[in-house]
Amino acid sequence: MNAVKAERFAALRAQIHAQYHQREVFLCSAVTQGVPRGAITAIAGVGKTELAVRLIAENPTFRVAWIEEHLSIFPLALLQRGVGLNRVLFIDAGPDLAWSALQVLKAQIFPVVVIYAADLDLNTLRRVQLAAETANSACIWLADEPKNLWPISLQLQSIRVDGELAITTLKSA
Amino acid sequence: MGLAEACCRFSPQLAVGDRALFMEIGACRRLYSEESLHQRLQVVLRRFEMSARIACADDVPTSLALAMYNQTSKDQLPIEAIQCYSTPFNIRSDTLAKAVQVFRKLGVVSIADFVKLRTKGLVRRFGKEGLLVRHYLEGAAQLPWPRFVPPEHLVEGVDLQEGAVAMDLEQMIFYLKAVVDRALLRVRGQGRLISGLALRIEQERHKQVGEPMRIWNIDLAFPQGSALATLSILRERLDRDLQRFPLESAVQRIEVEVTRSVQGRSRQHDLFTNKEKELESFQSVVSRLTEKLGFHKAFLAAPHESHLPERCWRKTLGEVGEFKVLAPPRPLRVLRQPQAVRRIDNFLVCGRRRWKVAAIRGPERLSGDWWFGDRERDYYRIEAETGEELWVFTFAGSDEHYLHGLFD
Repeated sequence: MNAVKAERFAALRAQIHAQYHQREVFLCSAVTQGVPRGAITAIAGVGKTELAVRLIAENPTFRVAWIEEHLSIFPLALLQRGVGLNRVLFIDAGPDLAWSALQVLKAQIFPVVVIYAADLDLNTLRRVQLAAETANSACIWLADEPKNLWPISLQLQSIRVDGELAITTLKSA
Repeated sequence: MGLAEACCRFSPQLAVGDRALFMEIGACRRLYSEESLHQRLQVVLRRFEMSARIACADDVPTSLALAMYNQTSKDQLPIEAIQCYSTPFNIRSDTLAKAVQVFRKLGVVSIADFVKLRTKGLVRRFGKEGLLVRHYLEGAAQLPWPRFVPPEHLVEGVDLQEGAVAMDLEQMIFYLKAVVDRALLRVRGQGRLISGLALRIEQERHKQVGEPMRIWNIDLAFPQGSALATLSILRERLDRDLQRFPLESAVQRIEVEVTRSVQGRSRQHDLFTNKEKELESFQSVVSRLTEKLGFHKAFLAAPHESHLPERCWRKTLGEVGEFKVLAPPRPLRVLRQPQAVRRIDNFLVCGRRRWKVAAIRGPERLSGDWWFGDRERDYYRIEAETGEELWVFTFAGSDEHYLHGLFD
């Protein structure tokens, strides 16, 4: 009986794995496996914003929503790194960060949504994950510290070594 | 009047009679057929909760007569239809009532019989009105159209009578939808889009009700032509406000007034690309965000000619043009207010944070508008041992250090 169950579980795992690997990805020179669409990618560490900007610059046709609790992103720096400012919507969300993220995802016109927040609770993250899945958007969460939360599909840690970014994959679902 | 405004989108030449609305569509044949206009008018009528007969003819009186007597051809019209030919824009029942009786006695029962009568006899018996009717019937004379002027203030509302209850948001949205729909039809009819509106909700007045009239003034970031998008913005606002201050009694009247509108038409969707649809969605989501977060909280950034980081870009919702930045690389994060940092030996200290300096690059001197009292700043890129890079400046000739950005 247990063997049958184990077999079924294995089959199920294989199905889930296959489904994940069928998922579209945004190609990025710094992330070998690419950044998955319809999922949350969390980036932590020094150089996390640089990495997110690089991904946006390397996919120049997509509209981007950049949401922060207290906006500190410098738009001109994005322009210097090859991101056209006419495709980036900046949102200074304040305490309504989760609401703003959900609104933007529900609109289904932003293939890339970047959220810069020190902390997001599990419920919010789950709602964002579902909305990202429906919208087929790559939701990138820039956090100061890496968080091991289950709605995150890809967890990256960036560090800067001799001025260059070094990326480590902490979790890849 | 509201219906006439909504119909302005079909033809610019309109006239409002006491029983009918007239539209000149002769010049619009290439835009739509009579059948499609018929269907579109039915939709408009349904939204205004009205029913009407629609008829098309070569002249105003005939179209009115065909609609009134539910006929398809002029020859089938009864003799009573001559009243339509006398004063179509303002029918007076007594004008030719006697003449109709006489015609009936004489056996003239239809318009077809009337046309066969000799003109001389008509003038002698029925005077100038008889002759005028004959002229209009034969198409020998043209009627001057009274000018239709849309009202200055566009207000749409609904009174909730007995049986129609609205005590919470969902019930209110049910009635509000129809009101917004009609208001937008009227605005779009005039070739305009809503950019600001006032929502008024009147509650039943009794002792416990402190504020029977609740008013919301809403400014939209992008002009809206879609009822659905406008309704979702209203819903968000009502939801938020009614959670804090719920309704005190049943709603009696819901009213929407268009306070600001701009020239513009709803974009026609492209069959092959969804560019227009995407733009509409973008405007809708930005409107929703700015409505809740504040006017400049969702924006695009446009570069502006200034060396100082806090002034070299502006918030906009318009087009952002191409711009080349020739300055050295800037940090991705810039603090709203530069923070004072202390330099102690090889360390930089800002509040509770401390960085050990590994390398310093710079300075890059930036000068602002001296006529506003801006002082020159020397910016340094300071590399910390942790890998972090800070953007720190000092005022020229000063020893104070300020942290202004991070190469995150």
